[in-house]
Amino acid sequence: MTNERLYEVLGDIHEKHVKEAEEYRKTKRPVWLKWGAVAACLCLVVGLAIRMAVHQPAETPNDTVHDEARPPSLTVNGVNYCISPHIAVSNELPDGFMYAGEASVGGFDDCPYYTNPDMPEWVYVYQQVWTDGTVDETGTLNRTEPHHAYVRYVDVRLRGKKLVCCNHEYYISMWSAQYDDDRPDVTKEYYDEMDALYGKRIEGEVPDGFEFAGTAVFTGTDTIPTGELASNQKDAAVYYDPDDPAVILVETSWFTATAEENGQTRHDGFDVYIRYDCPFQPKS
Amino acid sequence: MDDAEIVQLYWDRNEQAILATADQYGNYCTSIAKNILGSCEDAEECVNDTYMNAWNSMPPHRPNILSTFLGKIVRNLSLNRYKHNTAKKRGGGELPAVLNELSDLVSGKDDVEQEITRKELVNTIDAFLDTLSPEKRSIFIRRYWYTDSILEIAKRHGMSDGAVSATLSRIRLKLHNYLLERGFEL
Repeated sequence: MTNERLYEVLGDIHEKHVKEAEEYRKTKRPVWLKWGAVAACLCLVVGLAIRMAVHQPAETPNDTVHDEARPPSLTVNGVNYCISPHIAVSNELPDGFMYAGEASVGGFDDCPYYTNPDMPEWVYVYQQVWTDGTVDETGTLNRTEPHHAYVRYVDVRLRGKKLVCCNHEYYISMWSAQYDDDRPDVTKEYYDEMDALYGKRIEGEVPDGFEFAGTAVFTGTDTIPTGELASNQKDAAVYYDPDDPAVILVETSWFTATAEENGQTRHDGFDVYIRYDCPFQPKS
Repeated sequence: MDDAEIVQLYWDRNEQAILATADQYGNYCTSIAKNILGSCEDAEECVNDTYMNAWNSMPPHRPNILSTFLGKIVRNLSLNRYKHNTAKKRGGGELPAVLNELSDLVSGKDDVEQEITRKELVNTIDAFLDTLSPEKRSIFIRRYWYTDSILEIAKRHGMSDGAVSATLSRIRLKLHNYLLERGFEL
């Protein structure tokens, strides 16, 4: 075939492609950076729970279209992984991870990714980034020159889940338990029942019947806590009810700042965690 | 006036259709023709021929996307004009460079294409384009459909000239391998 003939053939490509190229204008930041900023801001806002009533969520550009409305993800061996909400970025590949292939991730083609058979819940992707993963005092990701780094992606069944392992049983926070998506953590009936009994959070003293179980060991963000008493959120006091093994309470505090309060008010209490069938539970 | 209204003018045999087309898509068609031919004069002639072609093809055609319909006509007419000019050793715009790049993908012999169904080849190229990110797809199509210069593509995509050239080179290599794997030896 001659080059002129190929040029003619290319003239027949689907009009959707031609139209897309007609309208394409690069006006957006990398998708993952946008979501990273959102995630980092949300982490900070949720973590400190300050002025939730008066602050808007983190800003996002108005250029969101189709797939770009979701954080970047990839599928490896049938498992869907999504960028860590904690934006774990490193210049060195963490120990134990090995090259496993290449994939199109967050608008970047041919990104090498790395897996670790001992940590199937994480995948690292080597891709272009505009940050070192640190945030400034406002919770916004610090920007750097474009460079390549290893970025952590987390199994979507674990991503963003607040978990506690208590006596080798798994509990999930009512805040993060899902019952209505493709991969429900719990059934709606169970969720509604526990919501009616305990709610998502209890303010004040430890409710009657609950006893101190100990302080959960923090195993790290995006991790599956394991052992006698461990959490993937932070070190926190855990209480249990000997008569109801379906629930535990985790000590917490939060702030409100409504107009009536004239400043912020600290509240102390407990997040409600309910027992669930953790997909990552070690098989005995 | 939207596309459907302009197309309806053609179907009604209303000559306002040409004016509306020129008003709405004149610049679009001219830029494609000029990319290929380099000469404003030649480009203008091709664009006028494009309106005449559109008039003759609607009806029976009722295009969904008028811009790409017109773009395809002007691209073909400009290519024919380019061939004519080349035979007479007259210049050309961006097309010589584009054709030179496309030489990476083809043998340059005419006999091979007999064995290839054009429609299958187009479908396979469409499938390949679907595998690219929107940005890379746009870069490729701006170069090999719109015949944009590297400089224009760089501006449009916020990249350096070198990055655009390197991206195009990688996409051509990928396309070459993609076609080979599917039995297309061009």
